[in-house]
Amino acid sequence: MSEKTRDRGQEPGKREERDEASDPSSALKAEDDLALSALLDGELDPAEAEKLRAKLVAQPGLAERGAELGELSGHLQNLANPSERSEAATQLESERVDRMQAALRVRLAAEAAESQVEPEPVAPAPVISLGNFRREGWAAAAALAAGLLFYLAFGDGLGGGETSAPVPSPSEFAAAEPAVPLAESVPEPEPEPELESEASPGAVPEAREFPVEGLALESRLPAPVVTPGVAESDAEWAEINLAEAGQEELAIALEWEVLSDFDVIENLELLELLDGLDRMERI
Amino acid sequence: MEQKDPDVELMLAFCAGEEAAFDQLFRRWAGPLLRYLERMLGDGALAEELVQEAFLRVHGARERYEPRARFSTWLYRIATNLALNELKRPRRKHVHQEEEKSLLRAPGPGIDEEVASKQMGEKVERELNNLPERQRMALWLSAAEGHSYAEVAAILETTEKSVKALVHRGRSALVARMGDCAESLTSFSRRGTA
Repeated sequence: MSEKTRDRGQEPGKREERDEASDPSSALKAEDDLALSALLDGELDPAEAEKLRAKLVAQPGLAERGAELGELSGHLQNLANPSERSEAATQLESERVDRMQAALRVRLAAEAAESQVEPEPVAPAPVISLGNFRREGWAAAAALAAGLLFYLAFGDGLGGGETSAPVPSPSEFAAAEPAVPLAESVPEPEPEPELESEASPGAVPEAREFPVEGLALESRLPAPVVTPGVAESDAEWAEINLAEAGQEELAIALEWEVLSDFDVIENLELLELLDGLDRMERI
Repeated sequence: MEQKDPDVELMLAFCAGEEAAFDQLFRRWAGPLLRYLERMLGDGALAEELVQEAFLRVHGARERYEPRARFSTWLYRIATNLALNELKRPRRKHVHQEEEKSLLRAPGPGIDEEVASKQMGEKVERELNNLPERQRMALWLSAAEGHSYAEVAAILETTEKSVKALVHRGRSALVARMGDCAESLTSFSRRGTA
């Protein structure tokens, strides 16, 4: 590569402008240079190409420049054309294309799935005002505490999973609670729903029929106290004396107090047990 | 369009519901597009990402595709715009894929001319990355990949005259920058043959 062409190429724009100003023949050179580039790219029309070829024969300097530009184009084509590259490089590129195609398929599948799924309406988050929390919050907190105590006390003793519903979790309680508006107004309490209508027939045991686990619990209660004037059918329930009640019974009593504030009580056995305790307390 | 472009045919088939046609287009153009984007961005991982992105755009355009130009012109325009957007962002650290580069540079078994040619190729590769981005794009698309000036003008959204000037300036600058390398290689070659 000659010094002359290197000088010309280093800053083509500025240098060409200077050359054009100082040397009238340099304008023609810049034009030829541009034409050479176009010739190499196959962008010169046939007449111009023929004219340039004649110049290349006549001017060895221009021919040398053409050779340099042509050599560069050859290197660029080698970079772009995989057939000129090593087998390993071609293999590597093929692997990359495979990888990209797999990733693209995943992205397309994800987009398709996204477009099929309708966005679910987002339920507003429940807002609990402080006023309502003072009125009702204690009940929820007590219910949770009582439920926990009850669970710790009886464990799996009640129900065995098939006939007794699980103690509702805090999230279930929250779900059962209607969303409380930000306003301070307290909503009217809704009437208690019919238990029979809510529970599915297959899941609810017959009334007054305790499962084996329930009888086991009964046997753990304190000795019965017979109260005159109470019907025999109720005597069974009135036998429990709170004064003599243990921690477990107190927990049940507490839970009954708390659960009475809630609309939904799923555990009918527990309800019945608590009902007995309640009646006994009233007596 | 005067001549039927087979890629346009494939794209139309894809628009008509033939998914395999899209795969064919990908297999055909992902490699060249990857090399082009790698040259433009100097980052292999980013280039792969943009190839996927470009084809995602192609896939998404199936409903409204109209064959106004060659498929490759359209595809390269999408890729170029993605690359230009990427280049406008704060410069990422370029990840040089040494593994691939070493494979590309692997010299032949002791042939001086081949070694000299390969070194020259490496130099071209390096210096190409130092050109202004539009010169680099125009030169690569035209001189390396063989797109016509009209196609490059459509890809770069400019005129053919500008492309001609861009290609010429890029080519001249590259030749000048390679001057030293050429001289050193010539002397090396002479020593080798002496």
